[in-house]
Formats: sequence, C-alpha cells, structure tokens
Amino acid sequence: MKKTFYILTAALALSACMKIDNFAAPDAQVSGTIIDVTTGKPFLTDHGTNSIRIWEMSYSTNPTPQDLGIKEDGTYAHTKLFAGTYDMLPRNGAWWPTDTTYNVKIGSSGAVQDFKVTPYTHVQDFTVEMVPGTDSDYALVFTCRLEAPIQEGLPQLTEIRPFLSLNQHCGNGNHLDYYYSNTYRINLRSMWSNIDKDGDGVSDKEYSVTVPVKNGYKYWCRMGVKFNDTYESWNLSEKKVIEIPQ
Amino acid sequence: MILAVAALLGFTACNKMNLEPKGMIDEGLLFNSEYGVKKYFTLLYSDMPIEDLTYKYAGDGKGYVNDRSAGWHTGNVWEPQKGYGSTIAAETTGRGNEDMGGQWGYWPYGRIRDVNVFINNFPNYKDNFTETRYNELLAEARFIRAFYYFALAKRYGGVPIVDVAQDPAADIETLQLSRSTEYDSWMFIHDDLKFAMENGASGRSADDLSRGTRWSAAALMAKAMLWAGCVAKYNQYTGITGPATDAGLMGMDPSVAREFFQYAYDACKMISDGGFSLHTGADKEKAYTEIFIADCSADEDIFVKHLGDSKVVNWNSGLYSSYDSMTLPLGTGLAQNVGCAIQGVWEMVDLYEHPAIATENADGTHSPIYFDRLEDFWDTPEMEPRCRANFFFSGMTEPASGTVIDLQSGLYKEFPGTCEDAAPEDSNGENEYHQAHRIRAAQPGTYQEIGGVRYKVNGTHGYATGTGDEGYIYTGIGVRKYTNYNAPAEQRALHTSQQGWKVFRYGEILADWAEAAYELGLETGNNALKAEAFEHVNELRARAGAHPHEMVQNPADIGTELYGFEVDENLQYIRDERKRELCIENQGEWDQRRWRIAHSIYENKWVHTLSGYYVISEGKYIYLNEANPHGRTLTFNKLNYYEPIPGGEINKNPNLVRNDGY
Repeated sequence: MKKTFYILTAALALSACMKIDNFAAPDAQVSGTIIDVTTGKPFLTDHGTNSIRIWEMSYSTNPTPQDLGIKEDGTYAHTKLFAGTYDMLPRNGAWWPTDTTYNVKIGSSGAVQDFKVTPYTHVQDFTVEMVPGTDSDYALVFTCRLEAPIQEGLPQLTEIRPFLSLNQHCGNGNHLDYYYSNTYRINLRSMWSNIDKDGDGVSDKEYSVTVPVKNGYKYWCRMGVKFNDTYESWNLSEKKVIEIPQ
Repeated sequence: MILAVAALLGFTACNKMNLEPKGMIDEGLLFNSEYGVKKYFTLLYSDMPIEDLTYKYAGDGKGYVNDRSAGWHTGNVWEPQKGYGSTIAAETTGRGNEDMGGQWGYWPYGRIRDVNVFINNFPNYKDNFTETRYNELLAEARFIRAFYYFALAKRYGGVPIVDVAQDPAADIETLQLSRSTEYDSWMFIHDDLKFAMENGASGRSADDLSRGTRWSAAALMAKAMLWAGCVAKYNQYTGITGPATDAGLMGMDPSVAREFFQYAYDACKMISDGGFSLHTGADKEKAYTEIFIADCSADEDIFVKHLGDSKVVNWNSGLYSSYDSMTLPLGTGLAQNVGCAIQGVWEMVDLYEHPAIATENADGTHSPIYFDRLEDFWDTPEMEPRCRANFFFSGMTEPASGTVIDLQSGLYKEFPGTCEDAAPEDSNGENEYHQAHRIRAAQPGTYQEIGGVRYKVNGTHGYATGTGDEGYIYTGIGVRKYTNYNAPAEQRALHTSQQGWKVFRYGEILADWAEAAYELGLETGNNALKAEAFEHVNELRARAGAHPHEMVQNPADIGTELYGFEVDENLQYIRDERKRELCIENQGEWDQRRWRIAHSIYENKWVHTLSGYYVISEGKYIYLNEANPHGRTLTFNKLNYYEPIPGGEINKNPNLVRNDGY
C-alpha cells in the first residue's frame, strides 16, 4: 500500500513538471516623443514624473490601464508589451488636456507614436548666478519668468521652486530634499489673471530665489512652477550646471 | 482501497440533499422577535466602519478591525497605533508617515445586502411587534445602512445605491449597477437618517446608547451632512478634472452646500434639545479624562462601542485593543510591550493655551525662557486643563500606576545661542552647536558626572537616542487621551485594553454645530448664525477650562495664502477648536480631507517636539521645539481626497466609472 502511495506521488510530481510554457514573452514595442507644439521641441520634464496611460483594447472594453513613464528628455519607449491595439493618452504633465489617441497598433516590429501637447507655461529666461553667501561662502541666485501660450482657463499657480541636484537628474522628481522647503519657495497661490505681466504674456515680474551652497560641489540647477490641477504637475526650465569653487 | 473510497463517495453524492438544514437559523426565526432581530444585527454592528482604538489608517493590515487589508474577521489587531490616524494629522507622531491614502479597497456591499434583506422582509413580521417598536427596529436598520454608506461616500464620492436585496440569480446587466452622483449618495444617507431620527428609539440608558438610536442617527446626520456641505463648497478648489467629476460622481455644485449645512445644523439642534450636555466636574482635567473612560450616559455619551476582555470575547471579534500598551511608555505599571507607538507633537500642544517657552529677539530669532522646573510648563493656571487631560508632560503622574513620567531630553552645559541654533525647523541632524554644548544619552534614566557633579542626563521615559522610535517618548509629550486611568497592570499588555470607544459624544456635536452655523452664516450672510457658532465654541472652551474667544467682526482671509482659497480667521478658529476638542479621536485626518486643505499644508511637513533640557550653567530648564528626531514628515497627495474604486469591483462591473486621477 505504502509503495503504491509513493509511486502515485512520484507520478503526480513528474507529471507536474512535464508541461512546458511555450508562450513567447511579450515583445511588442512602442516609442515616441512628447512634443511641445509651441516650440516644436521635446517637452521639458523630469524622469519619473509624467506618464502615458495606455489601455489594451484588443480583448476587453474595460481594461486595466498601464502607465509608461516619460523620460527626462521628453521621450518614452517600452519594449515588453503584448502585441495588440492600444488607446494612448499622455496624461499627468503640466500641459493642456489632450485627446486620447485611439487604436494604435503595437507589434513586435515597433510602433512610433509622438504626442503634441501645449504646456501650461514655459519657465524661461532662467538664470543661475553665483554670489557670496551670508551663512555660506557662496550662494546661488535663481531667476526665471513665466510665459503662458494659452492664458484663459489656466489652473491656479501654486508655487515656484528651485531644484538642485548633484547629478544630471534634476527636477520635481529628483532633487536634494534640503532645498525643498518653504524657506526656498515662492508661494504664488494665484490665478494667471492676478499675476503681473507685460503685453506678450510673459510675467514681467522676475521671480528670484537665493539658496546657500557648499564649496567644491557641482550642482545641476532648474526652476519649476507647480499647478493646482489634478496631478499637481510642474513646468520646468532648462537645466544649468554650475561648479562651486573649493 | 482507493476504489472503495471512490465508490463510497459516489454513493453519498446520491443522497437527497434538498432538506431544510438543521442547526441553521432562518429569517422566520430571526425577524419575528426582538431577540432575533438583535441577533441578526450583531454582525452588522461587529463590522460597522467605526474608527476606534483598533482602526489602522495606514500601513500593513490597515482598515477596520473586522474588515481590513489583512482580511475579514482575522482578529489579533495589536498594532493599529503604528498607523494611527492622529499621526497623519499632526496630532501625534509615530510610524504613520506614509502617504495618507489609507486605501485598502473598502467595499462593504455584503453587509449592506444584509441590512437590505432586513428592510425588505421585516414588514412581513410586523404583527409580532408594537407599531413603535417595529418602527424603532426599522430605524435602527436604516441608521446602520447610513453608517456603512457614509464610510463609502467619504472615500469614493458617488457610489452605487443599493436599497433592495438583489436576486443573485438575476440577469447580470441588472446587477451591474452604475455609480449614483455624489449628491444623490449623500441624499440617500440623509433620507435614511431622517427616518431614523424621526422613528428611532429615544432611550438614553448606557445600554440604549450602545445601539443605533434617534440620537446616534442625528449625530451621524450632523457629521455626514457637514462632510457633504464641505465637499460641495471646497472640492472645486482641488483643481481635479476628468470624466468622473464631469458626471457628478466626484464633487457637487457649490450651491447645494447651504442645504447640507442646514441639515447638519438641524441635527445638532435636535441633540441639544434632547437634553445632552458636556460632561464636567470640579476638577476639569480629571473630568475631561472621564469622557473617554467612564459611563457618561447621563450627559455626554451619544453612541458607544464597548470593548472587553480578549480572554472572554471571541478572539476574532476584535472587541478588545492594545491601546494602553501601544501608547504609554515602557515602565512600571505602564506599557508592558511596544510602548509609545504614538506620541504627542508640538504642533498640537501649541494650539492650546500654555505658557510661552521662548521670547522673540529683535532680529527675529528666539531665545528660550528659563524655568525652575520642567513642571512649570504644565503645573500652572496658564495651561489649559484640557491639554493636560489629553497629553502627559514631564513630571505628570500617570493615575493608574502612580508613576511619575519623566521626560527630560538631555543637558546643555551652557546655552549661548538661539532656539534656531539648537533646533532648526527642517533638520534633525547634529550640528556644531549641539557638539559644543549638548549632552544626551543612549538609554533612558542615565546619569553622568560633569565637573565633579553628578547630573541626570535624561528621564526614565525618554528621550534616549539609542532606543529607536518606540518604547520611550522622544517628543517630550506623551499621549494621555483614551488611556485607561483605572487599568490594573495586567491590562497594559497587548490585547488587554478594555476601554470602549465614544463613537459620538456631545463634544463633537458642538464642534459640528459651530462649524455648520458659521458656514451657514457665510452662505446666507446671516451674522446671527455666525455669532451663534461662537456660543458653541465657548461652551466647549468653558468645559475645557480655557478662556472664551470673541468672534472677530471683520475677519481677515488667512486661507488664500495657506490653501489657495478663502477661509476667514473665524472659521479657522472654529476648525482649530474642533481639533483641540477631538484630537486623537480619528477625526483630524478626515477633517483635513473634507476641508480639502491636506495637500496644501502637508508637503514634507516636519512635526516638532517639546524637548526639555537642564542648562547646567544657569541651573534651570529650557524647552526646545526640535524637528522630529526620527525624520517623520507628512505628505498628502491630493488624489487621495477620493480613493480609487477598487480594481476588483471594476473588473466585475464595467459600469463603475473610475475616479479621476487613477
């Protein structure tokens, strides 16, 4: 009896191992760029803060969405999707809402799908200047101005902040936490209509923040403005690099 | 042999199964007597979404005691204070510095079905009851249903309204209900509670108040309608847009706020007219602690959940807690396990009347004030008794054990600088000033010889740098509210706390009433209502032993800078009074959500200590507000004002629209 039991168990165990999963790994690919329509250049963003939401429509009318991260150069790429038909929507950046792009065919040969967006604002005329500090040897003065391609109906502007980083990843998602404090922010809490500006839509007030820095470090610097929209999204300036002497 | 077993199984399957099961109690037995109905309600009360001492807001196993992320009726909830709501409302600090979403997919339609079965079928048994008793039991059921729906609506906004017991065999299309609008969801709650307020039981004995009465229905009405009014008024400022918002599933038209504030106001008035009052006594501090532990059915209690001995009640019932052991510091007669999973913060204590601990210098920096004793902070008429009743400060005696709580944080050899030098606002690291002047110890109750004199470095209950973030108090403020001042030592281990939970008490009603009256005054331009709000505020303050507060006639707008929309200083005062009255009662984290302010005030927000130091050169004591030494900061993502509809439910029912942002 016992022997029978062992044989049966062994047979069961073996049979469990015999089945081979011969499905291919997902290999469909999609890539593209988020383009700022007002400049024709890639949208300025930070790694890991904006994404494209996709829905695979091939099998279900109510699929669970997936999010593809947008890289800091404004491009995105995904190489491990299942082949199929997808709806795609760039959705949580500081740009005016865009329409979903329907029925994008994604297969193993690779699809390219760019998206055009209109940013809420451009953070422009961005400068960083090194000056003598009060409690430190050196300080950095960040300045910028804002320009809105579409002025009517902008979400409330929450705040402007400087971002500092010790590597090239710099922005609202990647920065030194020390500087992310109320001491170094400009509290706006204001609608665009209440912000002083000159005729061309650029705010004529120059926003300026001074932050202390340490000797001998190399800082990647950026400024950003936050909006009170669904995702509390940010428009960012270009990056600048500055080295502090020993 | 295998064949024999198989044959046996085969035969048994042929037996006739279509028999009434013995040992099963059916509807006919349950609904035809009061005892049976109470039995039927037991599970509904057991699973009721009550945020009590066992409610965990964040982290592993979060949720209600019997319905949480770990499962249904899993028992053994020893750690709620590790993710307690007050820690994410800057009322206390502890482990709970996760994002404040608090989501675990709460979806209690099983219990709602149970209530619906009762409401649908109870009329068949009407003849067994008097007209009054029949209506009272029906009212109790509708109160229970509203309680569950409130827990849904405050999380998700508009939810599917199911008011009949659906037939599980029905066509799937009829079972896949869509979400109702947020307005309709709140009105559904309103209608249930209106019925319960008009028909519910009116008894006020301690036993009566442990079930749904017309009074508890009115209290829930006040709370729920205040929530709805605030969503109508303030949700527009969150800036969240999308299909769910457009469809009215998230947020409401601001014009309906007035209607909801009026419902809340009327419900509070009914409770007041019913004769409820604040519990008080000659010793205001002692009387205030009694609210949470003693039977206050004669004055303040409205709805009470009783807990008991875990060795007597069913283990999986969750009707016990570990609150004292999780909250008090380790020590003789105090916590036997864990200890101090929550502890006080300066942000909360500073809201009460208290003596100043620093003076401002001409250059904007601050210098500490020197005290002869650490006790001088609280053992003075300048300290509000309510604050002492809610928190332990250094030198106070824990009543049940008689232990004096000693919370000295360390020594300063001398203190030549400013408060800012010793305690930077947004940094908890050791700086040059600390290295030059400060002495701390790794273990509690340490003494050290300095210059030939033996000094006590720190207290026996904290702060000690080497004991981690639990066990001892590192903020200089212990949590006293809800700790049992009658507890014998054996009730200070895990699973042994037996104190109950005041789900609704008259103190909350006055806070609701003040807010509803002032909001209604703002909506209608009625200054008498605004003035009335401060009568309710001052009733709370008088009981607390605090000075009365006058309404400001031309209040400044302080909200725009803080929150991005207008909140005047009177309304802010009323909200602060609510926080003073209801802190550590699992209210603050919800209040800051319904006011739609959490994402504005919590962005890497540090909380601070009340650290008492002995300054050797002066022979006196100082207090400093240091940044939390364990780096707990608060952040709130605005998407969490509404939680995502559980993914599993969306998969089952494609008619459920996702909330915007998810």
